[in-house]
Amino acid sequence: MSRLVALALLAILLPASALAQQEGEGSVYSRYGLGQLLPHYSSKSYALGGEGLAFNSTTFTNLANPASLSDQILVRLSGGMRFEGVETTDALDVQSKLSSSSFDGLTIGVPLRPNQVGLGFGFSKMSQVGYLIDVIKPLDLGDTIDSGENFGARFQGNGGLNRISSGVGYRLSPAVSVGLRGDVIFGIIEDIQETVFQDARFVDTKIVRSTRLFGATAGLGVRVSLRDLLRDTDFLNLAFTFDLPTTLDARRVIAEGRGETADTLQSEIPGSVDIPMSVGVGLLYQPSPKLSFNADLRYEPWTEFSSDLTFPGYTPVSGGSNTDDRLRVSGGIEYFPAGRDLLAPFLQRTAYRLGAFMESGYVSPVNDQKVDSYGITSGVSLPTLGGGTRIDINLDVGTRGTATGSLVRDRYIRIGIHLNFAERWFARRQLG
Amino acid sequence: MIVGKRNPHSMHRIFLALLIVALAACDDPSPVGIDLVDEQSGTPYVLEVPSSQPESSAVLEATGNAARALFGTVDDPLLGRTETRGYVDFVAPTVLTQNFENTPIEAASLLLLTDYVYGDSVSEITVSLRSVDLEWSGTGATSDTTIFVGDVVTESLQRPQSGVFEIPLPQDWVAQWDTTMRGTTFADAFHGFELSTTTSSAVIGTQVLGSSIRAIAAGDTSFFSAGRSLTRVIDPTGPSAVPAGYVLQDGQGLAAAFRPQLGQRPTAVLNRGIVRIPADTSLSVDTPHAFARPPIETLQLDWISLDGTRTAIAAAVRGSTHFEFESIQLHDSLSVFLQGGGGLDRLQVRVPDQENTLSVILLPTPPVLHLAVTPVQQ
Repeated sequence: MSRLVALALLAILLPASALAQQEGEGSVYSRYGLGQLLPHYSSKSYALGGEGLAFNSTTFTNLANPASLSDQILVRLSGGMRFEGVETTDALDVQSKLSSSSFDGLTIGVPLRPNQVGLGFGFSKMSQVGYLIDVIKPLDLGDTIDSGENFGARFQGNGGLNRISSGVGYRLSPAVSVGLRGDVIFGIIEDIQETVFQDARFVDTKIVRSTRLFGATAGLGVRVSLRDLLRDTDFLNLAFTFDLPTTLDARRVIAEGRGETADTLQSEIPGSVDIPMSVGVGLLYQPSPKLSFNADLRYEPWTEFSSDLTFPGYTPVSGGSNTDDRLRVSGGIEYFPAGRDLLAPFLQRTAYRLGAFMESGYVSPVNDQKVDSYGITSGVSLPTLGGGTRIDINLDVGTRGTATGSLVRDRYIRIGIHLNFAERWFARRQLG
Repeated sequence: MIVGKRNPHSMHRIFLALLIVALAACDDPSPVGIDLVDEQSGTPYVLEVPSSQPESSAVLEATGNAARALFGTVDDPLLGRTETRGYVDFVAPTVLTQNFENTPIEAASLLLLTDYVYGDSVSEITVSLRSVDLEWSGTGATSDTTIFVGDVVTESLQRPQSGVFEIPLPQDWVAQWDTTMRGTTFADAFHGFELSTTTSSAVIGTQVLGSSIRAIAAGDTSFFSAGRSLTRVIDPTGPSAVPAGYVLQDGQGLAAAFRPQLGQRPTAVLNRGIVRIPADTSLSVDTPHAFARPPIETLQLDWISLDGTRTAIAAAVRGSTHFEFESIQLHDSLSVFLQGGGGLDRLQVRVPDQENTLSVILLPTPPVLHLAVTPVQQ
């Protein structure tokens, strides 16, 4: 029965993946670079600071570290939606509020040989662009053209990069697992600039700059498990991941208007985008089945980012880059009162998660000012009647940037709803 | 187990509550963050595109069925000699009175509603009428069309001023056309008059819609209204001495052509486009005594493509110092032009054919395109 439900979820979420490009509004900082970077999809790691590189894949499909795919026992299908509200404040204490909702990701985990070899597949956002700024100004065109009215300018961005991942994890020994993952990266980043006039003699314009990106990369992961360190039931996982740098093929089109009425302003501009490598280090300490602590660090040298196309915060000339190396530090605690007791009451079989992170932005609107982010993540993982199937509800709050000078401070709240279906497939039925 | 059964309902409630919270969030965008995009914020500005000095470009003067027909000859001390001949045909009334149909016409006159004088506005002129011999068409006819005419029907002395020229038609002409005018074959049998002058002092313009043949029979008056019309312009000599600038005169088969000089193409889109052509009416003000040289009141802007296609794209009435052209078609074409397309060879201005004048304007300086544009981020 749950297999049918899982297939139904797949049928719903796969078309929904097409909506990953849907319009939504959020941080103005997502305008810069390739957008706001997002980790591999995982409801559990989201609630535990955002990475979870050293986690096993027993309760979720951990594509961030393909070595973890070796731990799988159940076939798992996960997907979710995200609802986000952002309150932005500038130096004058003026505020704007924007909200968005979007498909968050989808993962499928398949244990080829339980706890030894496993496959993982996933679709998730790699970066997200979503901003909306409206401004009204007096229209001052001097004496040559009569204009006594205001005009309005709207800056809007949407889209971002997506990745389709497939990975394999293999347990070399009880202590060491390795994994390999391939990612196909694609997406469209749209920056829309609208100008509207009160004076009917002026024609409103809508300029859409669409940059289509496509490429591939690969990542590898290693995880080492050390058991019985401080007590009989504890273990410590150490994880290391390395994602290769890659070059995305880019095609840019600038048009006036959208859809069938779009009027291309110039011929398609080809280009390329070089994305730097990504290195991750993770730590997981689980003193008992009821409790775990994780800490992660990710480093990406975005100062090596280059492109022959212009992006906000980056121009392909010497000194035209506001990029900086990205460092993300996160950690979390998971409390699972039931431990291994599968018959415990509902609230004890619920997992409670709390995390935090600090991230230095990889690109900034202002050259000498970094845009750092801080946040608290949390979530509950609710059990269902169906074995390993769970419903995860996450709640994150955080802040990004600072309301000084021309910069702004984002405060956001993010609610994630995720469905995780798990079932034992391909198992030989035991008779007698 | 009991707890397990309750759980799904609890989860549904939580799920619904979260959905409600999410959906209740409303967008309230504002200028917050505009400073972060200000450098590329797309504030409109005016791009002024100069043009080349106007030069003459040959055009066909489609004077057929214009609102006005010209006739007469003028020797302009500044702009030379221009001879025009007007052709006007008439249509019978839809209904004739029984008295009119049954009684011979006693008298007939040609009534010309004049509204335009170019030249000596004081001296009397002799208007000469000839009958047109063959069928002719006004639609699309140009000022070089040949019309075959017969002998002089009559000549009449008139004062060149706005009003009505009443030219009595001779009795032998009335007798010749009496039965035709009272019958049903007038439209096929009669082909109109050629109007000209025997003097060279002025060109007169007559409103076609206000002109007619008035015929009286048995006390009943019938008006045979003017229908088709045409003006021929015969061998204009062109300006002999003109002041600095370009002199544009209607009726000479010439337009003032110019080429916008955009230079480096800006990365911008058009919000409003105006073509402004400076206009000097001094040629109409500084004239010899009693010599009328009307200024051009309306100009038409043509877009000439590289393949020679001409598209009338805007029209403008003269302001105090310039003509200002603005239209949707002009905006659309300038938008394409701004992006490097459109295949524009040149722009040209001329008096709309429907006006049909010999009016004149001095274009002292080259036209300028005033383009309100929004910069585009690359």
